Parts: sequence; C-alpha cells; structure tokens
Amino acid sequence: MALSSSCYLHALRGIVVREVLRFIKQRERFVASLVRPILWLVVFSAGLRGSLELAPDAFYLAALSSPRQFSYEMYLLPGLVAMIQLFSGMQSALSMVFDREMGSMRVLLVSPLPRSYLLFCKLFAGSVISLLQITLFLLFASFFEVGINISNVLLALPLLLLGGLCCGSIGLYLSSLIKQLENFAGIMNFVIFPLFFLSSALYPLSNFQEGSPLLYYLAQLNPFTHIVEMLRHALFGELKFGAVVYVSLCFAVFSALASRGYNPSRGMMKKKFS
Amino acid sequence: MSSPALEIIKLQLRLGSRPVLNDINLKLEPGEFGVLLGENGAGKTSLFTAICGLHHFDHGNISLFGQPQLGTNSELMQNLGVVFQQASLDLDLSVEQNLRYAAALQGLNSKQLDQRISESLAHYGLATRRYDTARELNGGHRRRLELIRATLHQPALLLLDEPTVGLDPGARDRFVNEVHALCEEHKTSVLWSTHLIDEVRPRDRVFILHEGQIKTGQRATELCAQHECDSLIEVFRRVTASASSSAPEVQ
Repeated sequence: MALSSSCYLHALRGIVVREVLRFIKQRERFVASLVRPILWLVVFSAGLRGSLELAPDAFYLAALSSPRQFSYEMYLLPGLVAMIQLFSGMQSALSMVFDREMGSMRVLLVSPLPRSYLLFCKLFAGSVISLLQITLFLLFASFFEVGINISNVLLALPLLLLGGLCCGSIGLYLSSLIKQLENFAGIMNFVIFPLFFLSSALYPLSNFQEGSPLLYYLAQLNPFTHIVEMLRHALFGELKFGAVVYVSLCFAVFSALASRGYNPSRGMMKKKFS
Repeated sequence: MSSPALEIIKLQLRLGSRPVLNDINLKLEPGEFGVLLGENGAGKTSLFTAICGLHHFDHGNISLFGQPQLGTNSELMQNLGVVFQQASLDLDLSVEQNLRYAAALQGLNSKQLDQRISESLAHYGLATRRYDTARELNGGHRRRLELIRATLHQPALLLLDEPTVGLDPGARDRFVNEVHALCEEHKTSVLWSTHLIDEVRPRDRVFILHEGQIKTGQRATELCAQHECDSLIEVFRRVTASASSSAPEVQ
C-alpha cells in the first residue's frame, strides 16, 4: 500500500517534536546556544564599535528615521542570527553522528519513507530549533538599539528557515563524511570558524577587498556570506534576491551530497552499517 | 499459495575485499519462527542489515513477501519490524515519546496510536512506566520497549538481531517467550538471530550460519532426528565440525 501524504506529514511532525524535545531536555545546549551570540553582541560589539567606521547601506537608511541611529550592533545582529543557524546546523550534524554511533539512526533508516525525505525532515527540525534560539536571542537583543521590528522578523521567517536549512545541509554533508564522533568536534571548528570569519558577519566585505583580494573572492564564494546578507536585508525589510538564489542553490547541492552520503550503496553508510 | 515472508537466494556480501556472506539461501514462510544461529562474527548482523536495506549487497536476491528488497521500497518496509542488536532508544525521551517517534516514522497517526500504545504497554507490563524516561528502565524493560516499538505498526515480518544481549537468564527467557507468543497469536513471521542455543524452541526453523553460509533450514526437532543427536548443540557441533570445533555459548 502506497504511503499517503498524511504519512509524510506525521513523520515530519514526529521528527520535529523529537528534536525539539531533545533540545529542550539538553539544558546546557539550550543555554550555550543563547550565551554565545549574547556575548558577541554585548562584549565583542563594545570592543570593536570604536575601531570600525561603517557607512549604512541604503536599506538601513530606509528602515531608520535618521542615519545617526545606525550602530555597529545593528550591523552585527544579522551576522549573529546567522551564527546561531551555523552552530545549530553543526549541532544537528553532531547529533546525526551521535545517533549513527549509538545506533538510533537505524530506526530512522528502516522507516518506509524515502531516505531523502527523512533527511529533509531532520534538516527542517534543525531549522525549527534554530528559529527558537533566534526568537529568544532577538528578544534579548531588543533591549539594545538594534533597529529590529517584529513585522520585518515575521516577513523574514521563510528566509530564516532557508538559512537554517542551508547551514543544516552543510553540517549534514559533513556528518556523512565523518566516521567517528571524536573527530567531529575538530572538524566543526575547522569548518565553523573559516565560514564565520570569512564572511560579512562581523565586517563588510569591502574591508577584505582593501586588505586581500583573494580573501575577498573566497568570502564571496562562502555560502555563509550570502546567508548573512540575505538575513541582513530581510531583517531590515528588503529582499536580496541574488543571495536567496545562492543560498537555495547551496542548500540543494549540500542536501544532494548528504543524501548520497547516507545512501547504503555509497558513501559513509556503506562502511558504517557493516 | 502465498509467497514466503522472506526469501534469500544466492546472496553474496563483501566488506571491502573480505567476503562476509557467501551464497546465502534462506526461506521463511509466513507465520514461521526462524532462528539464525551462529557464532560471533559469523555474519548474522551483516545479513540483517542487508535484509533491512541498510547494506548494499554484491550479488543475489532478497525478497520480502514475494517482492524484491531494494532498500527504499516503502511497501516492504511497512511490513518490516526490526529490533537491532545495539540498543537504539532515545534515553532522554519518555517511553511514550520513544514510541510516538517510531510510529511517526511509520506514518501512523495519533488516533491509531493512542490505543495501540496503551494496549502494548499494558500487554508487556510497562503501563506504569509510560512517562518515565527510557534511561530509567532496566535492561529487560528497555528490550521490551524496543520490541513494542518494532511491532507498533503491526509488521508481518519481525527481525531481531541478538535481542537478548545483556539480559539476565530470567529476563532472557521471558523475552524469548514473549516473541514466540507474538508469532503464534498474530501469525507474525520472525527471524531471530542468536549465538545462544537455549533460545531455540523445538518447532523453530533453524538456520545455522557458519563461515558465511547457511548450513541448515529444518525445524530443530527435525534437525536432531536427521543427525541422530539428542540436542541441538550436538547438531551444531556436527554441522560446523569440518571447519571449526568451537560451538556457540550455551547457558
């Protein structure tokens, strides 16, 4: 008997509920996910505010009543939102490696639903968790003058989901390559920091252009740069179409690679479940 | 005439360059209880992962209820319940949450589920542990929970890969009896892998896996009669004698 569309929805709901329950029950992870961006917003921006001279882009000016309202915190905020998604994506990938090591992934893989769909459900669940984290972070950030209004955040929700899916797919692809849990922590740092620092999360890409053209081009290739820019524009009420397309393409490519990696006849699974 | 619940023909499987399963033939009829008996490292888990579609095999065919197993055939997987050798519960989730997660992966909705969960927990004596986390359960109860999870969608074929590992003799005996009762009451086909001969019942069909090949396929009583042995351990020793003198652990 073929599976009905409601079966797909039940599975999606079940996976999201499971991941959210796990996230809530892991209190240390919950707290750490909030403390990290808060520290960056409070401490890092205070330290760097004076040394960076930023000219607000047009979309900032359109959202603000005066250019003097523009602050470094305002520039930094979308980068920190994207950082939450990046860490959340890597955390989801870590949990995939853990599930594979502990055996609970087999329960997922003997489901009658297509594996590619199940992997998408995992990505979606990770993205929902990152949205929960972002909501709490934005609540905290609203005490600072960061220029975010709720209607823009609500309009940006689909793009926040897309950013979460893209970060999750990068993590999922990495998890399909890594054999052991112990290796993953090192790989996470090896991936997270270059992605984060080689992007426009902390400073505009024009700063790279002046310092090193090579780094500038690498930053332009970096999917995380486009996630940050997509969110930066979206959170201030503008759609950056090119970034949305680039992020969507990266999501499609990394998802396809991850799906291939979790295929029993190829990639990691061939070695893992033997 | 109905198709076999499970039929494996000339299956070959390699891990890297090392052959693990060689020319495996196995047939399990609907409602039968089959025991895959073999020493540690005989290839039982590899065979199970191939049946579940978790491992790509090199040559041969695996059919479930007459249809080839291609790893992602949803109809076949709906008929399959699996208890893995390695515990696979979410220890931080409650008993009920573990069951709801597994049911969601089978596409079951909440209406069907509430009743099935309540009935299954009551049947296996876990009704009072419904809201406890899996971490709070003892080894025997965790195994029962895995059995409930594997049968929640009422599969026609149940695979259990060394499901009694780590259980004390009493809990082991109860678990074996529970699965036999399930097989008889619901006519569920069962393939149970073990290296413990005392888990085999007289009417079980015994597949001795040795050096990557299945050596037998008769019922335990028929095997004893055919080999003129008083016990299955003697049969096992005789069947595997040509290559090795060791026998599986007996408790």
